[in-house]
Parts: sequence; C-alpha cells; structure tokens
Amino acid sequence: MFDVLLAHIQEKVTLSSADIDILKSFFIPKKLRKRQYVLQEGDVCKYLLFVEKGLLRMYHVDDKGTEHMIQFAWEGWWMADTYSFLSGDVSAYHIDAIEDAELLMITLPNFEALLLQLPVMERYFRILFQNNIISKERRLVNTISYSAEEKYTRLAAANPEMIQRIPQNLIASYLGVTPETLSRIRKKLIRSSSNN
Amino acid sequence: MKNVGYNNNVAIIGANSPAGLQIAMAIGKAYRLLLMDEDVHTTAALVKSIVQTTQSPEGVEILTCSKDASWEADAIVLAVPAQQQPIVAQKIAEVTTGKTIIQIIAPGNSAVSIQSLLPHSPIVRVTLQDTSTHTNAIVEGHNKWALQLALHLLSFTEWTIIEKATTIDLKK
Repeated sequence: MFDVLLAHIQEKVTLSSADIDILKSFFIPKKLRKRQYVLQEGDVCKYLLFVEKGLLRMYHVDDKGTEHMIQFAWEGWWMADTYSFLSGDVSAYHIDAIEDAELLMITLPNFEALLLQLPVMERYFRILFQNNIISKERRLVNTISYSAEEKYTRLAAANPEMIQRIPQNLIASYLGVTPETLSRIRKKLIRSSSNN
Repeated sequence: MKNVGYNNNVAIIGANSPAGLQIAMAIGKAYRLLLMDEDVHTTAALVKSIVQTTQSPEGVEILTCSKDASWEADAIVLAVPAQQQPIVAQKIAEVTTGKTIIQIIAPGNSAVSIQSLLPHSPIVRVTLQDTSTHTNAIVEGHNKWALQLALHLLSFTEWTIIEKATTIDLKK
C-alpha cells in the first residue's frame, strides 16, 4: 500500500524503519473509483494526494462548461490545489479519477506534524517543490512559445506515458488545442514517420 | 450539487445487524453506502430496500470484504457483535488511518476496546440501550471532528442521542 510512496521518497532521502512507521501513521489510505471526485470547485482542498495506483486529473471548468486540464497524476505523482491546500481558501479546480485509484492522502495539520517529526521529509518536499517549479516554468514556456505541433511533440518526448495512457481529448485540453487540431497533428506525425 | 461518492462514503460492517440495518436505512439518502456482511443474500435485500426508499441506485453497494469497504470509505460503522469487533479491527487496521470509526455496542453486549488495534483512527463508541419505548444511543469519543460526524450520522436514526462527556478510557 505504501510501496510506491516509499520508493519515491527513498530515491531522494533515507528513512529508517522507525521513520517509515511514523510516516505511515500520517496518511489516510483511500480507494477511489473511476470518475469519483476527491475535490470539487468551491471546496477547500483538504488533502495533499499521492497516487499509489491509478490516474487522476485536475481541471478547471469555465463559464461555458468547457474543461481545461491543469495536471495529471499517476503512480508516483503528487497532486493538490496547492494554493487552496496551504491557504484554506476554496479551490477553483476539480480533481477526479480517470482510472480506479489508490491514494495516500495527508491533511495540512498532519503534513506540518510530519515535517516536525521527520525533518528529513523537509528535504524530500523541498526537492519535490523545486521540481514542481521547474516543470511549471517549462509548461508556461511551452504554452507561450511553441506551435501546437511543437507542444505535442515536446510533451510526447518528455512524457510518453501520458500520451499512451490519457485520452486524446484530455491531452488536447492540457495542451490548449482542440481535439480536432490534435488529431490532425497526430495524423501528420504518423504520416511523416512512416515516410522516413 | 455534489457528486455521488464525493467524500461521503460510509462503510457499514455488519450491515444486517439490527443496528447496521437501522443506520443504513437512515443515512442511505445522504451518504453513499458500502455495505459488508457475511450474509450477502440478506444484504442484497437490504440494498433493494434502501434503493426503493432513497431512489439512489448508485448510492449503495455490497462489498464482500471488510478491508475493501473500509479502504474506500471515509467513515466506518462497526456494527458486528462486540466480541467480533477486535477481529474486524485487525482486518481493517491497515486502511483506516485517519478515518472515523463508529463502534456500535448493541444492547446487552459488553464493550470491547479496539483502540489499540486501530491506533491511528479516531473512535466514537455508541452504546445502545433499549427502553420500553425507545432506544438510547450513548455517544462517547475523544476526537471532536469524529464526534461531530458520528452525531450527524446518528441524527438520521430514530434513536435518542445522548452525548456523553467521555469519562471512559476507550483503551479499556
């Protein structure tokens, strides 16, 4: 149940078996079925989520009812509306499961208590937040600097699992292009690769 | 409107017990129920009855494993006979960290401590007492959020709720 989380943490810091026992006592294990929500717009994001199994998406719904994908998370990924989680303000996002999921969830008070009890986790989360900042900067650059085709090819190169696992209409939304445009890009790329 | 199964999943372990039945029928309209009982056929009849009452077919499910039901749940009602509760507690311990456990002590049963088996779960003990006219539900616990949730769930039943300042040690 904690296999993926412990492997993820121990790639970055070392935990003793006593540390692991302490760590486990802070997380709520939760099974989520496909299409079940773990956060809805207008509620406070009460949990920082870690995906042990399955696939989640975080998205915003605009006034016209169109969904805009913000982030996906699968095995080994964390997800939360960080602003809502840390501030206690309501969230503008939804989080739900695209596939049946097994999550480990931690509340803000427990998150703070965990960092106090296991200072080594401060380092783990610092590394995580650093990586998160870098990836958000890259996404911003991709969004403002590249064509739709370049956005897709860069995403496919950086995250091949995302392309294989996530429905194309959600990928299109994540890239900020229409499903039709993404379909055209994919056909063009397939044609050019078969010509080469 | 919130979606079905959004942070409102209640597992009832021992769903066919008198207390389990009453709670399931009472909260079925407001909560998604994950019903577990060794007698699956009787549980199926209970589901049918809840669906007819609540008009919410996706809001109630039968699970055959207490651990799976508790894993998916946000709160767990333990309505099996008191002597079986430690056995169930051991089975579900791994998946109940941080989740409210409502321990039902049926009339005539003696309370058995399960706190040491579920060290990371807030436990609310509900002791039922039958009188000639009604059933009292004496509610005790240390965790204020868990108590609030238990009192809210029990408010749907016809029991007379008596919130008792916890004088008992739940570890005993």
